[in-house]
Amino acid sequence: MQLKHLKYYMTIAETGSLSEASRRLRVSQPVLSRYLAGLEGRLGLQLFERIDGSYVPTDKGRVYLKGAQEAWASYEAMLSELDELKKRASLKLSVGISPFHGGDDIANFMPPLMKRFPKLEISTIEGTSFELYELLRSGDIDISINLYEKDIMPDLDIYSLLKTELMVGIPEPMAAELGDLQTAEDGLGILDETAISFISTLEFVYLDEKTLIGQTADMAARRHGLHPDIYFRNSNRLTVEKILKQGRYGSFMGRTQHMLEGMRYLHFPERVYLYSGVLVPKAAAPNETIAWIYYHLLQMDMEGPDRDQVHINKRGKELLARYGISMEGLT
Amino acid sequence: MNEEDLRYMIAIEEEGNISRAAERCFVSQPALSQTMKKLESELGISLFVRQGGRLVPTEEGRIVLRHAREVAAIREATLKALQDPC
Repeated sequence: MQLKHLKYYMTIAETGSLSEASRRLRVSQPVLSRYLAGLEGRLGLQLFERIDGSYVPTDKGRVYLKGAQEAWASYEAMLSELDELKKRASLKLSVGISPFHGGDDIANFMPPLMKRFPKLEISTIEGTSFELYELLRSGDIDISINLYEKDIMPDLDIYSLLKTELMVGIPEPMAAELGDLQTAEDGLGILDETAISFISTLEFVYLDEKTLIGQTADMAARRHGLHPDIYFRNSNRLTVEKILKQGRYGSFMGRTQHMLEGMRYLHFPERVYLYSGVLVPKAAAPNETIAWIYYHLLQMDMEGPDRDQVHINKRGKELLARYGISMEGLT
Repeated sequence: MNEEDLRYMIAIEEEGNISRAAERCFVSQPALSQTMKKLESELGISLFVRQGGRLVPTEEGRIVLRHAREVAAIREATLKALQDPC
């Protein structure tokens, strides 16, 4: 029996008429007649009776109808699953990653992702937040896993992972000269005017304007009339951190697990935050692969040292919901 | 696509080889190969790949097989219900 015959049967039962069924199915009426007679003959059962010129299923006919409907639903589900797989198979994704945490990110999301999308081709490009921003704008990469600032990146959307506060760090011995500062509820000091004029005399080392932290720090510093002597700027966070470990320079830094020993961190009075996450051009359509990457990164962050800073925005929740990805595992 | 195709596929998966599957389904080996080729071109996918001398289903093949077994189970249950005298 051909599977399409199940549809013949269902349509006859639904319309109660061979001529209407033949019109809908685009097969001739004699074909349907022969099909029905053949089926009843093979089963040795009467499946339809004629009532007022209409084909009405008998009790046995209704049993057969239920089976036909179930089998047809399974056949259609199979076709749509195959279709879905074809779509996945043609997927290519180019991902921009940070030279600092990109390795951790990839190591984390690749194995489960490749299991789910076996034919997915992923390529990665490393770059600072601004290099990746440009590549997103030019369409050379599809997503960037990095920092986000909405005023600086108005044409991007973010599925957010972490909310990081930008802070001013000064070495402990120099911080001692600052005296008592107003403190926030976390016990860390808040920059006041005295602190700002003191800090302006210190030598600073920090990330350059190719990075979002560097740019955001410049903006925040300008806003507060903070002009420290810039001794060194570099786009490599590890280099900056190594210099800072010498304990002789101040810096602007994200408040992460990388808070350095021997440094005292101060809040900006109005608190400056940076968001990191999966960045996509605003014009891009949502995509299931990206949803899973986002999910696995969230999972990693929730189990990692930055778990206190995990921040899931509305857009991120919507992305997961769109593909039926449960957030239950994310605690 | 018909019920026979699905039955053949299940046999190939279980036997891991066309000639034993053909024997089990009482068809000739070339006829079975031909049927599978026709089904693959109808669906636009490949259903089995050779792995270490054995035929194993592709990812697409696994989808088809899962539904093939489902349809076979529905068929069996329906035929049983139809034989029920009540």
